[in-house]
Amino acid sequence: MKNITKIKGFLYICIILIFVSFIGLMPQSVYADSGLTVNNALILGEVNPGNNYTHSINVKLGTSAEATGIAIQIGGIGQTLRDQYQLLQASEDKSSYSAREYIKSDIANFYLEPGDSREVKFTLDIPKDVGVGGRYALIKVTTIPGEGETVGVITVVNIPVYLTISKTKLIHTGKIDAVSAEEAVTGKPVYILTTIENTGNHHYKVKGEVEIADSNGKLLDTVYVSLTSSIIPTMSRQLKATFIPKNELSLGIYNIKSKVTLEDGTLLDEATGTFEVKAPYVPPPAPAVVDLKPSTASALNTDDGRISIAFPQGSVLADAQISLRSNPPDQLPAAPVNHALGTTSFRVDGLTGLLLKPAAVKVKYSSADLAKAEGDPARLVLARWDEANSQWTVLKTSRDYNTQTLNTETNQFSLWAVLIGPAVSVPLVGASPSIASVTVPASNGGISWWVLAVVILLAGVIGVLLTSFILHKSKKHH
Amino acid sequence: MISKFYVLFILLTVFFVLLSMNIILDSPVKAAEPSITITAPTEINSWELSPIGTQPKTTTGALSVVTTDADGLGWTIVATDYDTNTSGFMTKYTGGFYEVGTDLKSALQVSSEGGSVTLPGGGIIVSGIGNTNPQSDYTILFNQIVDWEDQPGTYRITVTFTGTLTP
Repeated sequence: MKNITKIKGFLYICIILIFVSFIGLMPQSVYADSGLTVNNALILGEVNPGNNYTHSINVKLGTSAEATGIAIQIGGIGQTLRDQYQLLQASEDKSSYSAREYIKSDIANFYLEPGDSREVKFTLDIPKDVGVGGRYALIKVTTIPGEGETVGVITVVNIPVYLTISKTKLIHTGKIDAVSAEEAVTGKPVYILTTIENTGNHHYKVKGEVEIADSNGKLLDTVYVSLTSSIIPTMSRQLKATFIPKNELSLGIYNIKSKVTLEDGTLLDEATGTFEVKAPYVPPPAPAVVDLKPSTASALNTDDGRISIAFPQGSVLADAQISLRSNPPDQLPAAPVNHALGTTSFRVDGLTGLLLKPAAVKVKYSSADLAKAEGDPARLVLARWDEANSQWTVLKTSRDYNTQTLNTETNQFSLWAVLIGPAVSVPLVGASPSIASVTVPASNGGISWWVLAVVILLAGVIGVLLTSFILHKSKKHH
Repeated sequence: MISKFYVLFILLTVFFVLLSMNIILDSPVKAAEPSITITAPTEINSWELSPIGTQPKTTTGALSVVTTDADGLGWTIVATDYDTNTSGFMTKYTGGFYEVGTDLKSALQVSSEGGSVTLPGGGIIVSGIGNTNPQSDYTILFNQIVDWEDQPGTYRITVTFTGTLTP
């Protein structure tokens, strides 16, 4: 009798565990409670001519939001020079790359109460004679404005539609339309603008490299523009490079050489331009400066305490002024293989050669760095840009998790960055997060069936072993 | 005993299958359905504007963004004014209607840590890459210059906050 009670108890535990497991399978919600959420808010993938596709989104209103009407609009897509999306009505949408007419939604307007959600289904009918390259559109999910007396607010979520016609020739070409600079104002960086137009038939991302030289051709600096979001055919994007001169600029003309490449480094176009310094120009002050002397040890610390460099006595042969300034993370050369750029980056200037003794570099990583490393600080490393060889040197980095710092030693300086190294565990399946979302998602959430079969088999074996063990134990007690 | 064996076997098997599925579904290799949540600043009902004192007059709001399954994607939040009644300028508003043409001399500016933009065209005020962790919160500043030539009255504008996951 006692054993039956025990088995019953065990069964109850199993049922509770299964219930808990089901809860675990439910989508985990971390959404803000009064916002507008759109799930599956991107249509990006390959399509075949003559085929039909469906794409479902889920529109949800937070539990503490006010009830609102929701409008679904489908239009052509426009991109501004500064990466802003515009919905083009039929009368404005003249692009031969438009997918506007291929897309229909099952509903145009609906009403949501707080906490409510609604699925909206889109059908995509791809004509047989759709042509080659990419086709693009924009779907807008819009709330109805509230009754604010002074400033009303509308919330919108854009759903970009990027379709690639499969098995067609994709042309990735581009042309620089303009290279210019904003006025050089003393105490501020000089912003250099490069406008690149997509002259191909398919979207792509670009990155930039801008060289600034004086009128004698002496290279002053090379500034990088990190990878942009995708530019669609016929649209242009303005790349903004921030040039912070290391020294004062004398009056006169300066030369700009701007190069724009694809993500893989393929050159799209290069062009030259000039800018004139018409008034005395002093660069913005570096946030941290130290006068280094051969006879004493010195430290270079930023005011916020995030970066410190300790130079030992005898690290230099002659006096030198070393400065440190933060570097915009979007102005870094591309990360090396298997690494990604973090958000902390800085530049150290003033050294003309190698240090005689290595300096100790200590960098406090930011929460944004940590977020990029998916919460694993062991993936964070320090890297230095090697200007001579145009490549990153990933440095041997030790970590202090208590103080959230990365530490290394070096005998040279230039551009520095926190990089994200590869995750320790290797993914099971090389699924890209941004492909084929136009297809109806598999009901198993994208797990391959053989993985599922192995899981069930293993679970079955464990189940048999555990059951046998428990029953064997209970028999013994009898 | 046999029936007990089967019951136990089935329950344990189901339990381990579900447990394994939990582990797999929480892994980063699941099919991506990127999502974005925007909590825009709440409507502003009372903002006293005056040409007296420091300009521009400023009021604040809170914006939060949540992106999930957005690895490899960027995201932007853009502030604009699409309403042709106002076209970026706070416009006199009486009895539920705009007095088109009677607006403040200066356009409304909206700013946050990603930039300061002037309506109506506006632009990106915050942006990011990948997933927020778990959400990113921003203070939004509404800046309005009030001129002595601006007429007294109730003025209104509607600001649109647009979130986009950018491939």
